Amino acid sequence: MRRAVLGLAGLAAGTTLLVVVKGAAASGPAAPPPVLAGPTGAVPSGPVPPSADPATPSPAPSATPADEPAPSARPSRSAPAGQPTRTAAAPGPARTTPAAPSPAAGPHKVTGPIAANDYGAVQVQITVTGDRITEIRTLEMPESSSRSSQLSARAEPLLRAEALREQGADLDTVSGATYTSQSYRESLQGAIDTAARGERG
Amino acid sequence: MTSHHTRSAARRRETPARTGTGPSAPPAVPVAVPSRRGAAGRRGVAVLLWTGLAASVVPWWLGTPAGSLDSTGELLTAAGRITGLFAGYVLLVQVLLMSRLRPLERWIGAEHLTRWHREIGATLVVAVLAHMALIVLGYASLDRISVPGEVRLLLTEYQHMVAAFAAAGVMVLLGLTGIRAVRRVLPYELWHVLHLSGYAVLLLGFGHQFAHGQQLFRPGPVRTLWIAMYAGVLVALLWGRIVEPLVFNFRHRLRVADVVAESPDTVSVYLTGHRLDQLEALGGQFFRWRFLARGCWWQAHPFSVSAARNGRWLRITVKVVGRHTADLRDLDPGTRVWADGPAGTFTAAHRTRDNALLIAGGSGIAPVRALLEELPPGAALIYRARTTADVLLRRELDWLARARHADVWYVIGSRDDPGPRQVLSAAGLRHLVPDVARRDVYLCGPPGLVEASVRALRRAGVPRRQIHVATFEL
Repeated sequence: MRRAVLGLAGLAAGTTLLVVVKGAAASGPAAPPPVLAGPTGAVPSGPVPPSADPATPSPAPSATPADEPAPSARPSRSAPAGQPTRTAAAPGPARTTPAAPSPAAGPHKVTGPIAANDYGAVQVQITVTGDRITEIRTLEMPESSSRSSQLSARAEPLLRAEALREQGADLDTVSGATYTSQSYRESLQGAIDTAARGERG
Repeated sequence: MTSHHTRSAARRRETPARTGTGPSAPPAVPVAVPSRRGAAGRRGVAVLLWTGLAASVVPWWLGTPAGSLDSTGELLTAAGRITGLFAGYVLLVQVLLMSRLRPLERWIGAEHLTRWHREIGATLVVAVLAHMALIVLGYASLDRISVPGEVRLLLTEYQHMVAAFAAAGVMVLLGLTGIRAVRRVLPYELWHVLHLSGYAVLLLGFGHQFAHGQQLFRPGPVRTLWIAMYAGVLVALLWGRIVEPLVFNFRHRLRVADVVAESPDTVSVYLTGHRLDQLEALGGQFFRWRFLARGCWWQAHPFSVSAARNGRWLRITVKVVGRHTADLRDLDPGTRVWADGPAGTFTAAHRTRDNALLIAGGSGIAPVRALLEELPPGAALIYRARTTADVLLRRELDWLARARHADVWYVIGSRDDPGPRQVLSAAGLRHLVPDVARRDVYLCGPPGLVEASVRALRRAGVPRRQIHVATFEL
């Protein structure tokens, strides 16, 4: 009995201690904010569109990363459990690429901006045929933690289906996936705007 | 009830050959005092298990960037992950402790193993509940939805989560049946069957760890190691619970040789088999016996051997207290017996001193009688029985007293009578055995007698580690 009580006390104390020590490590001077230090990864990993290279602004309509809105959505901390490079690496190159869509009438693809949130980033690519969005591919969804990937896997098809149905970015938030829904809307809206500009230009 | 038992016991009393107190011939194999085992093995395993516990949270520590815990949701989730890792590890330890693996039995012993299991069990249940509560609260806070909403979300949208919730439910139920007051109300067989559902916890809780565990969902060394731990425990379980008993029973092929009445309500069951000279049981140890007769085969019960090994037969001496023990009186010679053991640290090998004092009450004499045979000469025995008719194995005890130079005191009367109370007080014990504080003391008997005696022994200055209590309590 006495040992059982000791065990419980040990469990509570151990857990609290670990969390507190880990939390305190952040406020210490030695800990650099790992997120913003992220862009070390000049080489984009993950499904960043191939034409994102600033040196060769591609005239091809296939993949055209556009401007990057919502810098306010930058994570103030890392996505849970590492892999910050993936989130943070992409914006660098993407920023320098001006949109140069060709006013193609046939199906063409437009890549939306990377919309980051606390848990990762969302980037979508839409296929526009005429004036309709005929396909939406998700290039990136938050997957840095098991929970994020779980939420992403659940939210992505719902958001995609609704966007195709509504033909716009005014989507309902998927319950439990508030941030991902928000980022999805941002990236999708960016892609739609770019496509619209491309049509005009 | 009593009269029925008496009649049945009387029938057995007429069995030819060994009537009454069993064989009066000295053991065929000269009894050797076993060498001491010490506590090094037990301490080693304990250190190993503690190290594993610390190691189980290392993945969390390394995988969590400093500074990521900056909201209530993140803090709660982090605590939930830590308790989850603790719980996952401790669950494996719990199963391992009950695997009956021979090395564990040898280094730690059944009594310590079951005690550890019980003490860890309470912590495990709380750790699992804390894990659930913290994760649900943490996720709800991160998702900005209500707690019931988050629970619904977890159950409907997360793979393996329904099974995980079920595992937690089973574990809480098991925890409740583990509470002593509840345990005493349940029949042993029912309780045992319920407890076996603990394996379902292992199975049901498996999936969600690897689907959603922050440290486990991605392939990598941590995930591999965690799966390897599961595999290791499973192998230990199969080995200890199935392979070793199979080997033992095919080797020794025990059968009932005879059933002998020792007193109106006590019987001895003699067993013979193959290669009993190679049997490695020590006096005071017990086996879990399964008698393959109608009405008996489906339950296994722990009973101590009541004689040291002699190469020719084994014997258990059992008081008739329940249905199963009543059935033992009617066992036919030749009945096959499935034995799982030996187990227990109530042996001469676990002594810490040169001399010993044995205290037995009622049918608790059985392991004590076997132990007395293997202790170094000069031991002392205090044996309390309710009436002179209840003194079991008296001729053997008298013979052992001479052969092993032991002092034997028979104390007749109920535990609360003035005589036994005086003898089993601190002063009484010191009077009978002046050097009691420098002896190992082995106790076996009704819980009341054991508890009172332990208190008296402590007052008489016997260190706790010199006190050995035989217990079959799970």
